[in-house]
Amino acid sequence: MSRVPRSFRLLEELEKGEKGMGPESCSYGLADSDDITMTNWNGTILGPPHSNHENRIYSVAIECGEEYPDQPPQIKFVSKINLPCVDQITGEVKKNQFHTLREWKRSYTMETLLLDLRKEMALPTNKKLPQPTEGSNF
Amino acid sequence: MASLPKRIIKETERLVSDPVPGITAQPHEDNLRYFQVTIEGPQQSPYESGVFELELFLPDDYPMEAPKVRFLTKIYHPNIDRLGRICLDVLKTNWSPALQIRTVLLSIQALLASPNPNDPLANDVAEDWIKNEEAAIEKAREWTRLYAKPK
Amino acid sequence: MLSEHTIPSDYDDEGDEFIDFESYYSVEDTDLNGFKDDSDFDITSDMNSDDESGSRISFLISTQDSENLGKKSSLSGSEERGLPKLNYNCLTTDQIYKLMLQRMENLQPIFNIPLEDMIILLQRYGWSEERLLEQWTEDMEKVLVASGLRTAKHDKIKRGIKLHPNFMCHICCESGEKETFSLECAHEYCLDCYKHYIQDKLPDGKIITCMNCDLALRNEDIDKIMGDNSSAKLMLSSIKGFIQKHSNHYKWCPFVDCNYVIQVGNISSLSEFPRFHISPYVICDNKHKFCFQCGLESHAPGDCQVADVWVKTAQAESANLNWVLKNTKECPKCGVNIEKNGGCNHMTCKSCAYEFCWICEGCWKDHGGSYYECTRFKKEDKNDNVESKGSLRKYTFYYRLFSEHENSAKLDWNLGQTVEQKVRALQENVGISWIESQFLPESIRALIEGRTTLKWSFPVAFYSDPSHNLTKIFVDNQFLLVNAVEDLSQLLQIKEPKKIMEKKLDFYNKARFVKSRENALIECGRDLLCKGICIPQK
Repeated sequence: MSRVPRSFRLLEELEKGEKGMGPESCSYGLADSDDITMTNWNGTILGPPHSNHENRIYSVAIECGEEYPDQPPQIKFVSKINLPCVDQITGEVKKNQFHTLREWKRSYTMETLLLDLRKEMALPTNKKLPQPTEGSNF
Repeated sequence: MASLPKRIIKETERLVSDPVPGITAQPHEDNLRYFQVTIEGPQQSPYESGVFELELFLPDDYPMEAPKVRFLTKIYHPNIDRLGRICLDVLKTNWSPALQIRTVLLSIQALLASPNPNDPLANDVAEDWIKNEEAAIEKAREWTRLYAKPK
Repeated sequence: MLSEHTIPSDYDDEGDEFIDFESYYSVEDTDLNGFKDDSDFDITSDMNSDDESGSRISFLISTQDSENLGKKSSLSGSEERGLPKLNYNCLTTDQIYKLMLQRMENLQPIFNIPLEDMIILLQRYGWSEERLLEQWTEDMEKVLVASGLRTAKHDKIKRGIKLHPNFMCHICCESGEKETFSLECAHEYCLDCYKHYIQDKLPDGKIITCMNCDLALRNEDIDKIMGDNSSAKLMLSSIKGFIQKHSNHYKWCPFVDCNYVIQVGNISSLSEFPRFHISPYVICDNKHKFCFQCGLESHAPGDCQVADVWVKTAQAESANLNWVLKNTKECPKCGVNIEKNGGCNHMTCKSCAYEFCWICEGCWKDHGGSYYECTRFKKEDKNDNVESKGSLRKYTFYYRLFSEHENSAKLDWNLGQTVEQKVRALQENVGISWIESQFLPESIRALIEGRTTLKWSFPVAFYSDPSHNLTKIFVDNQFLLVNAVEDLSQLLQIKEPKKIMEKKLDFYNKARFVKSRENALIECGRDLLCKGICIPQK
């Protein structure tokens, strides 16, 4: 298998996001549609049902650095959320406390990341955690 | 890394030994399917004073699948969007395995010479182009001065 | 063999269960109002109360039997009412392809080119014979070139596969002893590259041309290169194109993985149906019933308009509704996650043994007096009467019921497959005849059709004037069908194949009962539509 360079990989992801081919429970797009380097992205995650996150929409900011997808992107919650892997001051998802970032593979995409975060919210240990008021930001 | 197909080796060799005038294509050392490309703006076009940078990637299925190409230099053109994506038939439905990297790059150069605002990728640019072609060409010239490398 | 069907109305082959609804209402109207709150008529889905449900069935069937004095008269009754009929065949894709070839053979004398090339011409013109003929008479040569049947340059080269002792292919750049292929254009490439190329192109379903020019490959070329019957894959999309072009005569069965096509002979009668608020249902050889007008599954008692407005609203509200549709719920009592794996809505929590209704999450026993109270939309606290919010809430409520029954139908189907497998195994072991176990697939079919009717009865209820007496009767009929369906669904919960065989008569009776309740509901819904009580609008 050949290695798809960063930019063409990000274009593929952008296209998938733009055409709405991904799952309905999350979405993502370029933060600045003029940014030829495609570094900054916005994402949303719909809170999973049967949890304290139900019916909430969480915004996240994703930064795909130079080394993406060899290295994982940095991801930060914009909406306030109470999760063990999220830094409660900055909103940053802590790499060593979130398996998808810790055990990052080149085949993972931003979609993988968002869906895995959603799964994290639905974990039995996390789903009933008390949550900050809806609509508040870090 | 998997061995490179003979077809790609041959094309790369020829791009170096018999370069197309006004076009360069150089594979990256660590990824021989990934090329750094420059195209000179064609004469008598609003892009003529500039040299444009592009990137090109040959996917696994090349030459059955078309190469992927994108502009890295900002350019004001109705068939090229803000991220440098190109709307060109030979890159999509009209790709044929008998075409090559050099023919694709020549087609892109030809697209710079004759923009097609009726089949736009960048809608806002195409609109400008149709409404006031003179002003649009002037803007394309200005962007060439601002963002492209001078010849 | 093509099978011929005619359907006089929604209940074609159930002639013996035909109910004369005018007298049905005059009889049942008072009864229904009478027993709605009558606890004597309480039918629970409890399997132990066989006597009770048995007596109910006999009660209702006897009412119908008394109205059902001879099916011939009732059938001729439907003809007297002048309901339109549809004549149709169910075809396989092979049969369609043969039909296409036949049409081409008829056209061939005009064109005087090989049949293989005719296929390419029609592919190029999207199977529109008129357009092709028009262009052909205008400029024959142009059509041939545009379709890739002629090249501008004429090298005297024969198309086909050749063997070269030393050949350099310009596609892969490999050289050596190679088999090659070329058309008359002499663009010659190695067979491996051509195989790869064709493989990639087959799913597009378009004409495959030479890798270097517009000359077209014939089906026989493709099969020679691929060494198999690959062109059939290409023709499948041609068949799709043909059906799309002639969609007023042909329609695919919309059911997943079903490849049957329905061909209607008398399409002029299609326009007759809406007037009667019935839909032109057809049944494919896999016994899938769908509407030839709108292409949806059977949506009775709603007509096409009800279905259309309902589906469009659902699409517009999909974001809101997705939260309604879920397969797991928590037990209302102990909070354990419960997944629905059968269609029956009578749930028993494995953890705390609480019995509840899947739809309203209420205690199952409370469904007693006014069983399935949850099918009725209750106007809730009046403080919250912001009009739009209220109407969306009402829609959501009905949509939830709609989708719950859709889910239940799917789950019942899956469960039915497992049960059937078990019975088949038993059949082989014990030696029960095939005929004797046919009650099972028939019952499953009745169950799923009952659920489908129930599902589509919610849109009808939603668009009906709730204050009208007929709407109330309709809702009462819904209750009765829900009951009949849940009853039958419960039977499928029996795990022991032997026990299932013992319950054969039960299956038979309950399936029959579902069918008759279903017909009653459909006819009642049609009444609502005909009388303008049900008006579908956004």
